[in-house]
Amino acid sequence: MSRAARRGPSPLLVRVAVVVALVVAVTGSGAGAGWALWTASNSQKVEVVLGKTGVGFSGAEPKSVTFTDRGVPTVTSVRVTNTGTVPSTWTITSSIPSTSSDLSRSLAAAVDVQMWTKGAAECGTTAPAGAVAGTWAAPPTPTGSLAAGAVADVCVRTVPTAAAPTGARVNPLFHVRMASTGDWAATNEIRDFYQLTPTSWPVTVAQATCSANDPYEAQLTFTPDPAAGGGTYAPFVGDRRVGAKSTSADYPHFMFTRDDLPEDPYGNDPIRVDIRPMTGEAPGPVVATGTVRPTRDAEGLRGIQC
Amino acid sequence: MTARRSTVRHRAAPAGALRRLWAVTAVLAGAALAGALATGGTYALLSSSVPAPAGTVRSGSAALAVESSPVVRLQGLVPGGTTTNATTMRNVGDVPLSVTVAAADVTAAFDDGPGSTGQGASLDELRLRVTPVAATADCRPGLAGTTQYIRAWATPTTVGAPLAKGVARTFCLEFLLDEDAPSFVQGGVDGLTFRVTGTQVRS
Repeated sequence: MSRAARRGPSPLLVRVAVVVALVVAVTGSGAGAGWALWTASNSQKVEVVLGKTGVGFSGAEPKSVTFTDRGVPTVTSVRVTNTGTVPSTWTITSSIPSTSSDLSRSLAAAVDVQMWTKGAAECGTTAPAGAVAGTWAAPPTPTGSLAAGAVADVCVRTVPTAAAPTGARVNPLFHVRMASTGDWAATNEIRDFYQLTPTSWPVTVAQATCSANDPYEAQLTFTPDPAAGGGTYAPFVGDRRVGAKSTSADYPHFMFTRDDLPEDPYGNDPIRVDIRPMTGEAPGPVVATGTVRPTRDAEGLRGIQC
Repeated sequence: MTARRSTVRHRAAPAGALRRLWAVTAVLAGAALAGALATGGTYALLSSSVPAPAGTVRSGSAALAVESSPVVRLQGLVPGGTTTNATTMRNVGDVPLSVTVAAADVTAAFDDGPGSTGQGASLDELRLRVTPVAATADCRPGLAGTTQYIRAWATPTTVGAPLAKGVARTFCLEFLLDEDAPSFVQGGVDGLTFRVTGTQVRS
């Protein structure tokens, strides 16, 4: 064994090694300390509310209409309301119950039906050029678009043709579908609308007698018709009931002020008032018809006379 | 003879010490060079200085400010439809930031109450597209940004180049509802926190 091996590393080399280690340690540790990266964040809360379809469906008043004669039209309307949150397209389809009798089906095929949106024309007895047409057996299908919350009134004009059987009844079912995109849609129905034909053509309607005891009130007196059904009677102007007025067969009178009756579209023209029997809230066929006349006195106050 | 040997040893000793000195110097120089390389700097000893005026030494910062409404409600999304919202973030810190975006706190609720049939299902039908745009007015449907379902946005995704100090970036958020979104998810309310995170860029 040599003397150097026996003595080990010299003290000088040990000192040098320590210095080198310190230099590397000090400078090397600086390499890892300088790269702690800063971060920052901020945010925004976002809510995405999906659309929703919805449809309201009302109208077809009165619920029961008796045709007075072949070729004489009746007009009613239904109201479609977009109760959803998105613009949608509505479509009305109609049908008759599958359980309808042969007589009812015969009437359904013998009633001409025209429908149009009221915006294009009022719900008068004459249909506009753009009306869609059919019969209750092959009904028309009106359609349109509505913004959220908007409404459409659809006029329904029906005329019994010469083939319409007497003593028949048809129950047209109105079905509305409010559709957005994809499969999104809402539906609604009116199922309690009836049209009838009398036992013989034409139907004669009794006159209600008008009387006025002062310038501001007029009274209509009618003859009750027990065969028409219902224990009470109510007045109607067109297809709209006059307020909540009703009376029984024991007191067949209605008293009206000018404010009881609709202003528009009648203005100061004579107003025809139909009296119908009521079964619950469902009106029956007209049993009497009377006429009253709006007036103004010398001071311009609104009155009503016969 | 002895004196001669002694003379030889005397002459040999300075040569060994010189070699050790050279070795030590080389090692020290190598170590210093290694250390300098590791720190990325140099040890130039030349220096100069002037007295600094009295002042405050303040550290830098990284910060993002949202310049849009902190809460947004988008309405009326239907199958196959889209709705957009632009949100702007500004780098108000002292360093450039690389930017990632993510959707956090994702929720789904229904107008008809919790536990309804469609609870949460709308999230499977709702996608989010994020596109950096020059201005709010440029935010419109059909841009070319990354599009993925809402839940997938939980993973931060880099959007656009790093954001320099003081610069703002507008993100166009386009929400798309699948065309086959089922009817029972109608009226659902999907919520999320659109989070933008900036990380200091190594200079």
